[in-house]
Amino acid sequence: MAVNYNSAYRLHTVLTEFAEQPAGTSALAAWSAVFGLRSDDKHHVWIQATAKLSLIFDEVDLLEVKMEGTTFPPET
Amino acid sequence: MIRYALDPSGLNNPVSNYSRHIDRYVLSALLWCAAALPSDGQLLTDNDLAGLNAQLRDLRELIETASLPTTLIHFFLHHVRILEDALRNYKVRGPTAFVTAHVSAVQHIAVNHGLIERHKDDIEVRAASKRLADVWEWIEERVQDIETSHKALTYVAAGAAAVNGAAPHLLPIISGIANQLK
Repeated sequence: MAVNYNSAYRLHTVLTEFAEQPAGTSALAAWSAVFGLRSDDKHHVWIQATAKLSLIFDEVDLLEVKMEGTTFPPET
Repeated sequence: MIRYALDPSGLNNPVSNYSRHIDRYVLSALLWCAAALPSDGQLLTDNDLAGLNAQLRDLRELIETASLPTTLIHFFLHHVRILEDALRNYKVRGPTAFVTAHVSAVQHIAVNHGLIERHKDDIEVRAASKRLADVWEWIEERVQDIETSHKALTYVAAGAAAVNGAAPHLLPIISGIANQLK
């Protein structure tokens, strides 16, 4: 199956990486690892992680728009 | 399911609270969507990303070691930060991250073009401008078929008009990618 580079692929890449983070860590630490955020100031990392999450929400919206605007084969 | 997995209200909770929403069915569905939907940009390889990272590191070093006025150092470092942010956001936004960066860069040049114009004959300013333009041209060569948005086009058009008269070495930044966005 050929995979195209688009919003679905980007979401798949980011979410796969997040899901592979060790179960014992906090979500903040996991997102920091995924996005490569580095800072000793936890509040700073929190803000950065939230900003990155808002970008992913944008990608989800984009994916929804693309799916609504795409004509899929009848069997799908 | 994805929206549950991205809820930022409990970032201190264990990762398992979130990852349970990202099961193999969600990931399979996304992979199917990726295959079924059209591609919206060229994928930068790991080597490309490492190369861009190295170029930005060199550019930052050049600016920080140059004997430029403080205002110009801030000007060039702001552009380095714009590109560093684009590099970090690439994983999530794809080539669109560079469109956003381009819009920010054009706006910043437009606001500060008088500053650059006053120092355009300074050798170190010309060197830094040239290096910055080289980075953008490098990006332009690799990030093809960028998905455009009306908002980005509007900003680019306004920015290109506003920077008319800016430093010659920075103009390729505007003209190159602006042409690509048309």
